[in-house]
Amino acid sequence: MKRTVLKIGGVLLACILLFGALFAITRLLMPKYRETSVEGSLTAEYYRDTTPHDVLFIGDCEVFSNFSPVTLWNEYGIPSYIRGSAQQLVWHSYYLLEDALQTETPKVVVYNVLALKYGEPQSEAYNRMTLDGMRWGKAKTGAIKAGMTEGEDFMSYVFPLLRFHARWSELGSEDFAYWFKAGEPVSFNGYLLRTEVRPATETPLPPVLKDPHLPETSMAWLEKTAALCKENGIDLVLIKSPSIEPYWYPEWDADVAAFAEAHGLWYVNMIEQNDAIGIDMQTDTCDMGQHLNVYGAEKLSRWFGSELKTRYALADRRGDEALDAAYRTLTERYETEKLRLTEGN
Amino acid sequence: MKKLAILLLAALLLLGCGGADDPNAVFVDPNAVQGGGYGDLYFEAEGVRFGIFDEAEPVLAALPEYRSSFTGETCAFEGQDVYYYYSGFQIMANMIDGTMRITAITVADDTIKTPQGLYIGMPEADAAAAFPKLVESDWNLIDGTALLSVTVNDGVVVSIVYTPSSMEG
Amino acid sequence: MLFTSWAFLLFLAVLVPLYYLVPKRVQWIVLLLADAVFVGFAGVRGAVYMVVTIVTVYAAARGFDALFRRQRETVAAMKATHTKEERKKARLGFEKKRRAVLILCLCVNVGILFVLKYGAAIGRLSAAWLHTPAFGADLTLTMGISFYTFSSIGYLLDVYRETIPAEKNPFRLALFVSFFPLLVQGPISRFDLLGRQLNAPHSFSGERFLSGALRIAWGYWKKLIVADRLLVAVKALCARPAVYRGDFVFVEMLLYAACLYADFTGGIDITIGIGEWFGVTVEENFFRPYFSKSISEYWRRWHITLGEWFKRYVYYPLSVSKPMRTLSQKSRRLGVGVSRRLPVYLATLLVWALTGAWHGSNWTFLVWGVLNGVVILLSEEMKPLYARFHARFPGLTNGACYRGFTVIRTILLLSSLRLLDCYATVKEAFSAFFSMFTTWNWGAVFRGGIQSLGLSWADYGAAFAGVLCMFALSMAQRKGPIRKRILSHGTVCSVCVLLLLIGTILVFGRYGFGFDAGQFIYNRF
Repeated sequence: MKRTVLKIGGVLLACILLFGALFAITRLLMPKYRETSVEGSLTAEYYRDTTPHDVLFIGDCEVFSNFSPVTLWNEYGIPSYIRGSAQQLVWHSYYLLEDALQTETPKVVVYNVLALKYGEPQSEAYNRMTLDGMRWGKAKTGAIKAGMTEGEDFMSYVFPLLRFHARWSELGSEDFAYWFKAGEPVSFNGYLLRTEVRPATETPLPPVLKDPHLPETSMAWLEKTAALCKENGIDLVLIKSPSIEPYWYPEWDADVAAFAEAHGLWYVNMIEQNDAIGIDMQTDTCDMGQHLNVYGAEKLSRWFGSELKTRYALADRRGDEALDAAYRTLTERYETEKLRLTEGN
Repeated sequence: MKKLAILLLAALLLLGCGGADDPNAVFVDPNAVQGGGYGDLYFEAEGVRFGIFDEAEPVLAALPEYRSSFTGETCAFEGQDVYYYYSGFQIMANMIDGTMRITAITVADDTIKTPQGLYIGMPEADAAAAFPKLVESDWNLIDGTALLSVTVNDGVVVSIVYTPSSMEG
Repeated sequence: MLFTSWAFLLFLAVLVPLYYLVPKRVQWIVLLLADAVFVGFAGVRGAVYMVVTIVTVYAAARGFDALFRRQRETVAAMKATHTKEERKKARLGFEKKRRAVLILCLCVNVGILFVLKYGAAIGRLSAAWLHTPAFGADLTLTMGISFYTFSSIGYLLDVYRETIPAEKNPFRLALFVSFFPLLVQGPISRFDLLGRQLNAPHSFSGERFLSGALRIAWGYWKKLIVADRLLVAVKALCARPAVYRGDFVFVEMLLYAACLYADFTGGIDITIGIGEWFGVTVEENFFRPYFSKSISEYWRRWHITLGEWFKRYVYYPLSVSKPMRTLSQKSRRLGVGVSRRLPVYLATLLVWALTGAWHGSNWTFLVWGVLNGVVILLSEEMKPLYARFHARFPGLTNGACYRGFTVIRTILLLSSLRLLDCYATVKEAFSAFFSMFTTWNWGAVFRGGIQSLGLSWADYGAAFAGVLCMFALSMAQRKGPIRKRILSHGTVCSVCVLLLLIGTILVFGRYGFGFDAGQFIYNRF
């Protein structure tokens, strides 16, 4: 009897050790997205901020590069967060919103419409960057199933070792440095701060569209997003951020405008508002018009904050002790990073 | 055992005609992506003839200084599309196996005519007459490594683009 | 359902507990249903061919039984009333009937295999040579057909020869023919060895389960860490014979030797391990083949069941057949040596040609088979010469160096022959082989060549480490079965080894996004 118990105990201990080892190996082999492709860190960082947000941005690089939650707070007292990641497709945005609604209910959700041009899954690498950081739940399983590319399988999301095991031959110092340590967030409430100035000159010729309309699949997901917001009493705002490349076709603009009108939503194509906002593509972009730098992002956030405040009667939350403390820390970190990067340029 | 004798004998006989190894020899992969494989689907400007997968550097050096350029960063990865703008056309280049190669040539306006006799604004009937193969291929003609895509709208050519016929070269 | 698919692992995870949970008398039915699911997954066409085989072989075997019984009854009844001659005639009548049934059944089953295996090739040849319209392009082998057809024919011939009685229950025969682990890449099993075990009841044994798991894990280890990795380089080398010549061919020979060994033995390990999970001992198909000192020894240690099958059902019957005896008699005037050798040599070459043809419809396989036969016969012929040589240098053969030399020589020789397996045409294979002696390009191999094959240095490192582990294990195996030794250290130690194997497969295996764990190489035969 004692022998059997010992045997079972030994086997259990061996299994625990194996799972422990596999857990540690998985952590080691998963990309850390700290020095390169930092966008991969964004999804997971959201869970580290426990303060409530009145405004939640969702979308692709045109949200995490172009809006500064620090400015929105310091100028208008609007607490906000950006749930955006690289090539975040519309179904990802839907599920990231659903995921956020598990723990908070923002007053306004701002969706950047650029990704609507993709009606099909695009890239496995981007899928992983958006989804691996999501917490497990109905939203994550939905997001995975909605947009797997050919060759991807659900199991590899459950056990990321199955996907990243081959990285054993390319491990770098950051893999060891952040093996069990989260490190400082790379973003400022989801905003990736960049200070370089690379003026826009000429953008590539937009290819002639075979089908001038946005894919039906994308529009169906947008419909679902609108319904989800309505269900939760959230105002959905549709925006096309002021980046001038990739090209935003007038036909697509018309599709979104028609959708917004049909659903009673505010849609603003900010490319047309660049003068009003004060964006100067000679000084306010870090990569020739594709993304704004911090100067552009601050200008845009100032303008957009004022619009949001007026249109949706958002309260100034400054004076709330917890929020003040959180944003004071965030602002300090933000200013330090801005200074560091500016000096580095 | 016995087969060894035969094998060794054969080997010895053959070794006599074996070429000595060049210690500095480097493996050159003939299937690696390289230029010149576009057949008739080349482009010509300012007397410089070039096409898909040609090395970008000598072409840019031979052409007059480009008006401006644009580096299209992907959202996250190191791969970049570099555009060079010239009067009437635009070249896109990408890093392929360590070499910047031309991966797209786009006709920008109606000021130039392609070596195949096509131009923006050309009536569809004229384009079909000038380049009948295009019509046969539904306006997407492949020759070797190059694909010439012509878009016709309302009976007029509105876009002319040269791209790789496949990314493997 | 590939062995390397999630679906297969799930299939096993459901099947194994179910097998031991149901009453023992229905265990074989559970296995049969599992076979049906496994075969069904591969497609209806394959299932139909398999059913045809089961039905025809069952009917023929039962027919033999009935004819034997009737023969015995008839001859016994004739004993008092008929002469010896008349009884012999009656016996011959029954024999004739049995032979007719046998030939008919063989025609159906070999016919199916022949049409599927060679139909497309014959269509192409006919179009090229006779200028007929091309046909048969859509004929492809279905899963496991080469293996189960041979197993079934073996059963049929054993019943025909009265070595074993015919199975009365068609479903029990179906279980033998369709036992799923064997459908992927064999081994070719015998009813007297496997059939009875499959139909017998089995109790669960923790130790046997663990032993099977170790064998399965080791099989996956070899397949995913070594075989699938090296296959990438081998495929790249074979695909461009004009580019990869000279020393590249030598590299290819070695890589393919390691790759094929890891792939085939890995698959058989998985099969044998799964068999153990169901309480069934599947025959070993390998016995450290790369330690062979000659090609004939190698063929006694590599794909043992195929060699045995050919020996048992083709070579022996052919050697003692009437035409061969006649040939031997007629060739007596050419000398005793010739008349003794001729039938043996002819039978050997025929068997090797058939072995080659079994591997595929390409000419390369046929030439490969015949060349193997030629090498074996040459070895036989040169035995006296070598005996004289060794008599002159008596100390030469005793040392480990000489043994090592013979082993390496055998590996190089069989790897050279295997080049025929790599290339699309015989000409390409020979051209590649001879280029090793005419083109010396080690410089290019190591300066960019190796790296152009789709593997990184880390991949080569992992594969090399894998090969070293396989070698070390083979060496250790000489002292006795390794699993037995591991299990003798207790359950905890065995579980630790198992977990270590699983852990290393998970990290270093070539699978997942970007890598496609491929079919087993022998799965295509």
